[in-house]
Parts: sequence; structure tokens; C-alpha cells
Amino acid sequence: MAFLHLENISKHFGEFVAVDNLSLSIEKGEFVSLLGPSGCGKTTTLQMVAGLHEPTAGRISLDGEDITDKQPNRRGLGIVFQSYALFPHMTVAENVSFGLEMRGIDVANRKKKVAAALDQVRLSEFSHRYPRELSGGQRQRVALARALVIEPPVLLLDEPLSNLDAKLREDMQIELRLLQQSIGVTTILVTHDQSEALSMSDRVVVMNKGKVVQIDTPVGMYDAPIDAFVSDFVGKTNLFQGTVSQVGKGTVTVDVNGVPIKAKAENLSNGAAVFVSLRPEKIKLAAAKGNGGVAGEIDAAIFHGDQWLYKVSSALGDIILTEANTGAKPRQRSDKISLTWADGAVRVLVPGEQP
Amino acid sequence: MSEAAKVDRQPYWLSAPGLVLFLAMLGTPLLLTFILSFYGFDFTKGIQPGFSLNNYIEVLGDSYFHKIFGRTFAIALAVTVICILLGAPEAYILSRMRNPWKSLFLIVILGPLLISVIVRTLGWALLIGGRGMISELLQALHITDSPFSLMFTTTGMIIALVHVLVPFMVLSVWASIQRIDPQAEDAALTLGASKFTVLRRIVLPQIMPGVLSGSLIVFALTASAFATPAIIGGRRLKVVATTAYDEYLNTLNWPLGAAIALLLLVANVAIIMSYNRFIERRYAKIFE
Repeated sequence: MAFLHLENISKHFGEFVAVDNLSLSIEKGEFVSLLGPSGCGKTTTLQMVAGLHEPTAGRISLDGEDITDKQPNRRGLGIVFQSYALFPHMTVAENVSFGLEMRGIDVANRKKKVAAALDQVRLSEFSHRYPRELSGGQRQRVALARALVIEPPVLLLDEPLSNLDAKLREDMQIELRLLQQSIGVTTILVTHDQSEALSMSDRVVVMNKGKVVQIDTPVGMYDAPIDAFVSDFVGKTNLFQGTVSQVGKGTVTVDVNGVPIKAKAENLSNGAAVFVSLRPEKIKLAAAKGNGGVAGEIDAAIFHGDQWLYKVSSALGDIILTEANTGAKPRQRSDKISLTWADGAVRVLVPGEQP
Repeated sequence: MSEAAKVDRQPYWLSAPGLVLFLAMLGTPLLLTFILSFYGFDFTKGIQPGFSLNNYIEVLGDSYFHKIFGRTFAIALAVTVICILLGAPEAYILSRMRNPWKSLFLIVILGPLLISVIVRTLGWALLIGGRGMISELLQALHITDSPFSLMFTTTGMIIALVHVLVPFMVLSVWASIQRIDPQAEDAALTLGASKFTVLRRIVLPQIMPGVLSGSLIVFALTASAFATPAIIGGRRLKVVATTAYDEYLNTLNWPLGAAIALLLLVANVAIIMSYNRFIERRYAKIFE
């Protein structure tokens, strides 16, 4: 049986169903992200694991023990809150020490562990500061040290990086992931930021309206989204509505605005309404010379440093695509171009529920 | 005149009306009272202009006045402590309530402030007097045989003062509770603290600034309270404010009344300032 097991849990707030019959198994040492738009129930799920919300139905077990009815102060889980929730009237060291104190650990041991924890997050020099004397990133690391110092079986992270600026957020993603791997602590991360979920996790759980939509590895999730909702939510994509016009062996042709698009797909019948998803980086650009591609015209060229993002209007509709910045002369607005892609790059998706 | 100088003066002009009003309405009477306190007084000749420290010597040297000052600050201290004990938990419970109960109870708590101090205190007099409701009830239940009165007692005075001053404590504590991150309590809970420990170690320290500033307000207002002590305490149980009033209006010894009033002011300011300094030193680092 899995290390942490959520079995058919639901949470109702009056009439509102925040989490609907959710099941999830997490292995020891695994890093799992709950990803979804706001209000999808991901934070409520985390709070039920933490014991701050009681599930309306379902069971939660940890390491074989049913913890559904256990009080939050007896579960011993480490939690990093979105606001960090540091104790403003305690110094950094006192904040980190609090959990150890509650466990009745003696002063000498406490000091040793606090020092080690602060060293781990590179905050040793700040141990006597108060939280308000720290920057956002430092507060975040104090919260992390406070959660980890009690050596929790599971670390719960509730949008821990959402209050940091973009550059710091990327640094912290790497730091957090390395730290998690070196300690080997089982971790659940709640986030609405798909790039965060993709870059840090072993597995991603995409949620929508209180339900699990897809559970997969980041690569699997990105390359093989189960429906149009996941495809749109995880990473950037071009989504086109179309109808299946021809069914072959393991392949289909989908008609999008009169343009036939070939793709690999099973179990589809003629005339079915589907979505076609094309990732921006999987589309190739060529000068318009009749190479069988879809003709288009550049509407906008946006520079992103490492790459160019082009907005193209074509028979399919508006398309975004990216091209690495190789130093070559970029395309200009109004350039006539031709778009091609490999058949395997096209995903045919069922509509899915919209958020 | 340069642009910068123009801008620099603007705040002074803007605050001038308030400043003038303040000086005219508060500064002047205070100064006049200060001068008056050095004048002499004769029962036959009335107020004698001059300069002597006799009034101060009389107040500071007379055990009669010592007792009144002592009583005043003892009552102020008692009222402050009771207001903390009642007001702080009240504010916390209130902050945890949901609407519409929250709004309703807030109005109930602020209620005493909406009623005239005289009416409210007379109401207390009706309740706690010898022929008041409480006395009648106790006699009807044969708990006591003789009329039971809290009029002209410190207890009665403290009850009535707490009643009107508790809202200030609640509001003050309420303000600091609003600043507490509710997730901090969850964080403490998940770190293994019991609910009581969360209250004691996380909530209480964070509402302390509110408790302390509320104490300042309650203490200062009690020490200089007049109407409630005048009605409940009367002549039998004088406090500094009622004593000064009596010197002015009954004995007509204005200079002595002025000296008493100023000594009360000085004592009050001294206590409040040293207290405030203590708070600032203690909390400046922690709270913004």
C-alpha cells in the first residue's frame, strides 16, 4: 500500500462541493503537485491531509495508519503556508525551534537541530532577526526550515512560491527540489503555476472543479494530456475545434476550418467533435514556397531573449509558435510563411470540462 | 522664494487651523489654570493673585489628599486590569464569530458608548442602590435581610467604570487581532501545539500591543473620570477629579482646585509616557 493514501475523500461546504471523491496514492519520497485553477479544491485537499479540514467522506492513511480523525497537532506533518505564517513575535531561531519545543526536545538538542535546519536553508546569520526584518525569500526559507526541522513524514507546501518575484521563484524551485531530494521527504505541492508543477514534481495531479482530471509524470502530462482542459492548462498550446473526417489504422484526419490535419489516435469515429492540440515549440516555420505546409502570415514577433514568439494568422485560425533565438534574422510582421509539423506532434483530444 | 521652500511650508498652513483651535481651546485654559494654581485664597477676601507654592505644598503634604490620589490610581489600576480580563477574551471571541452575530455583538459591546454617561450611571445607581433592583431581589430571595447597596463604594464605582471603558479595550485588542495572520495559528497547531498553547504562545503575544494601548486609554480615562465617580461615589468617596470640582464649585478655592487638577495631569502624563516608552522598547522590533 502506498505511503500516503487518500481514499475517495470529499469535502462539502454547505451546498458547495470543494473536493469530490478524490483518490490519490503517494509513494514514500515522492514529490507530487496538485495543479489546477483557483477554486479547484487543491488547497482544501492539502488542508484535509494536514488535518485543518475534516473530510466530509473518505479516509486518509499515512504509512498504513488511518489518520482521518487525528488532530492536526498529532499528525506531525510539516506545512509551509502561502503567507508563510511565521510567528512575528519570535526570532527566526525561535520560530524554527517551536515545533521541537512542542515535542519536548531538550534545549541542547533543540539548539543543534535549529542550527542545522537554518544552515540547510542558508539562514544561519539571521537566526536572531525577527520575520519582519527579512525579505520575502528569506521568510519563505524560514517557513521551510520550521516545517522540516521536525523531520515530518510528509511535507505539505501550499503555494509556497506564489509571493516571490519571478527570478527568485525560479531559484527557489531548484533549491526546494534539490533539498527535497537530498532529504527524501514525501512532498505534496499545491500550485496554480503549471511551470512550477512541471519543473519540480515526480508526478502532477491536475484538478478541476474538485475532481482529479489526470495524474501523470510532468513529461507525460505535457506530451499526452488527457483532454483539452489539461492541454490548455499545462503549458501553452494551440487548440483547434474540428471534426473527424477520416479514420485509418491508428490514425485519423481531423478537419479544422477546411484544413485536414493528420494525427495518431485510436477509438475515434467519423464525425466526432474533437480538439486538436499543437504545442508552439513543435511547429516549424518555413518561407512560403509550397512545401505542403499551412500558409500563414506573421502578425506579431515577440522577443523573449532565448526565443522568438510569433503570432501567425492562418487558415486554421490564430496560431502561436516559438523558435529558438539562434542569432539568425528573425521573421518580420507581414512575412508570408508556411507551417509544418510532424504528425506525431498533433494531439487529438476530447473536449473535457472547462473550469 | 524657491519651489522647495513653498512646498515645505504647506504642511504648516494645512495644520494651522487645527493648531490654532488646539492652542485656543486647550492651551489657553491650561496655561490659565497653571497660573491660577500659584495664586492664594482667603475665605473672606477670595482669590489673591501672586506666586506661591502653598497650594502644591498643601496637596502634596496632606494625607487627606494622599488618600484621594491613592484611591484614584488604585481604582484606575483595578478598572484597567478588569477591562483587560474582560475585554481581551471578548475581542478574541468576537473576532471568531460569524456575521450576523459578529455585527450584533459588536453593537452590544459598543452600546455603553452610545448612551449619555449621566443616564448610564444613573441606571447603575438604580440597579445597585439600597432600594435598587439587586437589593430588592436579594431581600426577596432572603439572601440578605437588610438593604444591600453598592452606592458610595469603590466596588460600585469600579463596576460602573468598567462598563463604560471595556469597549475601548475591546476595540484596541480587536485592532491588533485583525493584524494576526490566521494561518499562524494553523501553523502552530500543525507543529504540535495544543489549542491552549496556541492561545498562550501565538495569539496572546500578538495581541499584547493592543492590550497595552487599550490599558493606556482605560487607565487615563479612569484616572480623570468625573461623572461616574461623582454619581456613584459622591462626597463620601472622592477621587481627584471630584475633589478638584468641589474645590472649584463648593469651597470656591479655585487655586487649590487648579493645583489638584494639574497634579492629576502631571501624574497621568508621567505614568502614560513611561508606560508608552516601555511598550515601544518592547515591541518596536517585532511589529511595524
